[in-house]
Amino acid sequence: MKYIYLKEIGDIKQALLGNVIKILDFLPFKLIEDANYPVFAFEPKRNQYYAKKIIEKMVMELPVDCEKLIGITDIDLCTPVLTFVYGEAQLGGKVAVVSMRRLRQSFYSLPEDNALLTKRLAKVIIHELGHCYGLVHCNDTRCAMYLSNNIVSIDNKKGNFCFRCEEFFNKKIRKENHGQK
Amino acid sequence: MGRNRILVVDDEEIMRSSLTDWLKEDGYYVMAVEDGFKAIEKVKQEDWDLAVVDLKMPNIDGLEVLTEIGKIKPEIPVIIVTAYATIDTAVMAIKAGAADYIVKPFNPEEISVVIAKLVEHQRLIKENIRLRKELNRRFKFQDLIGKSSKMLKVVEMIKTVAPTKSTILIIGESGTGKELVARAIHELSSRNKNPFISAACGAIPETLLEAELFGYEKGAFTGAVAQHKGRIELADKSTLFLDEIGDISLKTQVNLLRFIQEREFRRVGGKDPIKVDIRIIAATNKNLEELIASGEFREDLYYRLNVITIEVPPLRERKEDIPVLAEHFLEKFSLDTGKKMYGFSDQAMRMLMEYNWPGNIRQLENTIEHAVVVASELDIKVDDFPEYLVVSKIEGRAKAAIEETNQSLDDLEKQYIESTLKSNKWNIRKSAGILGINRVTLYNKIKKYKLKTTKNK
Repeated sequence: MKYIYLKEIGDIKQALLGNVIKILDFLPFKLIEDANYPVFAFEPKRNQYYAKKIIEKMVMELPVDCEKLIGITDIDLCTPVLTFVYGEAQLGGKVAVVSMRRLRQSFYSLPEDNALLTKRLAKVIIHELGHCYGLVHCNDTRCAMYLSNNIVSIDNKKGNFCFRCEEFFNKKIRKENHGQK
Repeated sequence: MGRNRILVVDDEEIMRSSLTDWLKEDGYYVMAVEDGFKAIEKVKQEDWDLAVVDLKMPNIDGLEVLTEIGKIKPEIPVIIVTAYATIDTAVMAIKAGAADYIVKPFNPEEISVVIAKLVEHQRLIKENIRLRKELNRRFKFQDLIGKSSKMLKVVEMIKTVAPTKSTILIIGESGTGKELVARAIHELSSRNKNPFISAACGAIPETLLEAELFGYEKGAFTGAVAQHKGRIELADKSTLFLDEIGDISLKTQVNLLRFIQEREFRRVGGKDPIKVDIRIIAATNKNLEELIASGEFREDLYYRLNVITIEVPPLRERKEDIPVLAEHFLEKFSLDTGKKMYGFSDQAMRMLMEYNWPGNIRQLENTIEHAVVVASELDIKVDDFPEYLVVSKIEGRAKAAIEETNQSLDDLEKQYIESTLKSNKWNIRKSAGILGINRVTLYNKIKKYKLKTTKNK
């Protein structure tokens, strides 16, 4: 059996990821950790980390029984063309990385809310996981695959897929796990 | 619908791959090239919905690429992106025709909105072009088909009056193609670059017709939540086709008359008069002179409309046009349904020629559509026509006989069917063919008249 790995990158409270897994209980998850911060991906001019460089390193370290690998970190992620990203994934690939930095209430100068953070994190993880299974953005604002460029739109969408995306997702899971068509 | 296609042009590999990955996640088809020359080649070879071009590149910079794309395919919107934004370059880019100018790195919210807006705009332009082509395909001057002398006279008249500004009244029975005549006049006039505006006066309820023709101001009546331009205003510098003019109320006739005299009008609830330059073509299947006599149509409006009259003949008066019309509709519906049809059997064509077509060309068109849909062979056969056509044929023959013999219609039909069956030794297929009806109808008639075969006795 293959698993979807959640990899803690840097210092993250395991309890939080445990709660995320409870939300995403329909998938077989495993937790691993890497306490090292990805300094190689740091871009001093922007004081942010390039998501793609982190993904490239994660691809080199895939566990044997890994179906997909999602990195979770508290550092602020960006790409060369975008000022920030909540997450980045290989479209139809194995690896994605998600940042909690802009999902925290404290980022918007509000009191921290762990329950809300857990919900937001689960939504972004399922979104990036969708990309890993080949799903592209969806026009349904309530679908997990809707492109969220701000925190309001993340809060607005549900933590699951719309009917069409779910159908595609389930088909892909069956195909990748069992070689079915 | 296929995926929208975006061409990314940037000399830095990391920028190209980053932007490409992000756009792919949004469902776009993306191709990235590293210099302007390759970009220009790609634009020449393929269709793109959008190009995202970096400003600073070696050899040929973004502004030159923008200019070249504008020369080759001006319909492609180009976004210029740069990490070194200055007001000068932004002004230059916009002056050179860039759809937008964005600084790298992009705010994800901003770039998403810009791209979605441009792609949607591009989709609308393409849809517009497609619809225009479709419209042109649907209406061609050649649609006024006919070689009969009556139809040739109509065509000559159209050619003569089209370049003028005169108001025209088209009269003819329902389904004779009055709107086609009006469209032909519009297409042959200098107003053809603007859309042909038509108003089916009979189809619009009396209470709405004035608002529909003249438009209305916000708050003119309950439900008028915004200003609305009427058909007259929309037809400015074009042609307004008022179909079924005989059906409008006397009150609307007064307003229409005033408009035709003064060539200006006020929107419902509006104060300011609006001047327009339109050519009016009206049509009716009613006898307007009779309506004037009964007080239902204003005589002064009639004379304003009836500057030039074109009478479209009914199909029964130009039967020689039926074969060419039938072939035209056969080709049209073969294309629409994807069924390859080669023509009509002799009997089927004879049946079309003999019918008197009370619904005129529209009825013929519907009949051929029906036949193409149900046809199981490459030729249209009698069996493929709708029931009314075949029933009418038998009744037509029987009616002719009634006049001679003074017998009832049923008796004559019975006799005719019986004699046909006997002379063909009760061969149902052959008899049905000769009678010009399908086999099911013949069986029903045999049952109805309790006809019995005598061939084995």
